[in-house]
Amino acid sequence: MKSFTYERADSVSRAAAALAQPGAKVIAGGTNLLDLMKLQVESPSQLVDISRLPLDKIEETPAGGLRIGATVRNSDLAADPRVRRHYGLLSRALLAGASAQLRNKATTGGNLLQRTRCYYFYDVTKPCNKREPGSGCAALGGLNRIHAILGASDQCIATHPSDMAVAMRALDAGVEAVNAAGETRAIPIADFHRLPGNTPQIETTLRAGEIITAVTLPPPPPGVQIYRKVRDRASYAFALVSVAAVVEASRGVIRSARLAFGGLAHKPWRVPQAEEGLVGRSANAETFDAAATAVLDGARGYGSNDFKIPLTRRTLHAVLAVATRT
Amino acid sequence: MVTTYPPVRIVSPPEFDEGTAQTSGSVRLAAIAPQLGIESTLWGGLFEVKPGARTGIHHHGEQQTIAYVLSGICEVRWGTRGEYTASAKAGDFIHVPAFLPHMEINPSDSEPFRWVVVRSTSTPIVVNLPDDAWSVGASVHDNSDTRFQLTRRAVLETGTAAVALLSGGFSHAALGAALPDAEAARAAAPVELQVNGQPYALKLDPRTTLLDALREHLALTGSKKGCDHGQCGACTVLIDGRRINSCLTLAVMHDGQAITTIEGLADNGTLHPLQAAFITHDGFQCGYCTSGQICSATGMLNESRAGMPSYVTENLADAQPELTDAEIRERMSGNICRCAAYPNIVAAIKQTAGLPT
Repeated sequence: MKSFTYERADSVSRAAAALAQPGAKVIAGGTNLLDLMKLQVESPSQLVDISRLPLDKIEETPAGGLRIGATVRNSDLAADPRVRRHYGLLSRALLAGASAQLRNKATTGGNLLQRTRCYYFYDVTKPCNKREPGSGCAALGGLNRIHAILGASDQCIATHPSDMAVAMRALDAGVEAVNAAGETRAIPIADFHRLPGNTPQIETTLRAGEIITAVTLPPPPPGVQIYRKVRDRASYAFALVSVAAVVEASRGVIRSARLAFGGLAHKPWRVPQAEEGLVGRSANAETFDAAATAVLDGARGYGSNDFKIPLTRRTLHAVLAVATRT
Repeated sequence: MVTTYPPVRIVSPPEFDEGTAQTSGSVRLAAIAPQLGIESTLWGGLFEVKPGARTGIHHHGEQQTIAYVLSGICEVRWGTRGEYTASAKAGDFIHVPAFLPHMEINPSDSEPFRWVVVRSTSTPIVVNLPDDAWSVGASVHDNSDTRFQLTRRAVLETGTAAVALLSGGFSHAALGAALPDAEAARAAAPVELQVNGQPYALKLDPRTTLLDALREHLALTGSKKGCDHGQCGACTVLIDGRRINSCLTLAVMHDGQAITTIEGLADNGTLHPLQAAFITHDGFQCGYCTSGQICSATGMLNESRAGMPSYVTENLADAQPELTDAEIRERMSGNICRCAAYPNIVAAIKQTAGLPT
């Protein structure tokens, strides 16, 4: 680990001011950042510790939703009675991620900002445009079993590893960020993560010196909520494919659907046309297949991840079948 | 038969030229090590030897070691019955040559002295010896020799104290450090760790993980370093009753928080129920993951009592999910056991939770 100076922030604005310095990084749970620092994939010159700032509350909003503080632990968020009752999808997604020890440390804001688990991003001896812009992408012609099939570029085929973010994408969450001047900005989660394009090193639309203070959830959506994760082990593994679904159906007819996918792209993936195409349709294999085709529009495998295309189709089938079962 | 032993060399600073001799210990070591063909391995065992106590280095074959006397005066003895002696004082290097199976470094004064292994071609076995070591008279070549009192724990404990000093004041105080003093002073941060109810005031490089602080600075070696990347769970400790991976957090971030390690679970010599249950159900084979498993299970039972759900909980609205085998396995998935003692670990946890096993 490279040497750094450590500072415990006593206010959000102080933390934001410190963060504006070159080489500074925020640390809260640290479970991903320290992992990367040990490998020198990350080497901040300054760490600003925000873990003791009062950002650890889950509050009900006047609109009937929830405002989740940025340092709320993944385990606390998953266990919150309001989340379990009204946003079961989010609880399930959080509980599908990492281990209990890590969830006791990992925070809401940090989870959104975690980096890809692409093997070549982690291996500093290999080219990686995300770690070292312009050096190339070893995953394109390498082992790319866990890599993206949608929204990738010839610069980067990494995926976003979060389960939580996929659920939040289906729930239309908003990310609240504050800068050193104290100005608050709300970023819809759809716009928060970026596709790699030619700048895979820029992963979010957060601006320099901005700190995530909260994630807001709109009122709970009507319908059945499901989070289905397909992975190599039964527990404690990243998603190959995951589906977050909120589906309303009655008498065998789909009334509304929201579908977000993990493990497929550089950000939680959502296709409005696929969801719209389900409305008013009978819940049957043909309908589900049409939705899968819409989701997979433009999908492309890179060799070892070709299987993700049929796997996504089948997982969506299974989820929609359960969601519309009456 | 007369056995000829290679001599132990006491290398004092005057052997070097004026300029080198005046510089820090690490520079002098850099000068001496290549001359002796010992360049690669640095091993930081530090030993404080009180008058009357004895320490020794046990070697094999071509192994060579350089020790350094940090303070005080000592007598170096080698040979079949310790018949060869030399004296070394603070600032001297002791070169233990190849094919010398055993030697001792003992106090020759009424004052304790401290020495450290600074280089070795492989990790030497350093032992604490009983007072009558030489009088036993057995051959030093005999591996069944009992006089070395070689216990793994003694070696480990001495080694741990050493590392603590190496990462603290030792490097720049005695041997000269890679870091210039001013930089080291700027980097060190004061931290008070509350471990098992005991306060410890430390000055730590901010890079020090909680695990390294526990193991290397506080000599609490029950928490294990397995993967050092949060994947195996061997380092699990409890902070305010909640389990975390101590390898993936910085010690400075836990200033003042209540940390419980495996050493703090037993109550006045009475094993924690989980510790007892792991013994009853044979919840381990090699034991390396066990302290992490037990700390993790302690936290897991706290979570279960608080009604926290898991990925396999069927009904999230259930305020008190039942602790089935599947629940225990899912909730403990952050602890890997290479010996695959999982069925017995599950049984031990069930017994502790008051469930039929």
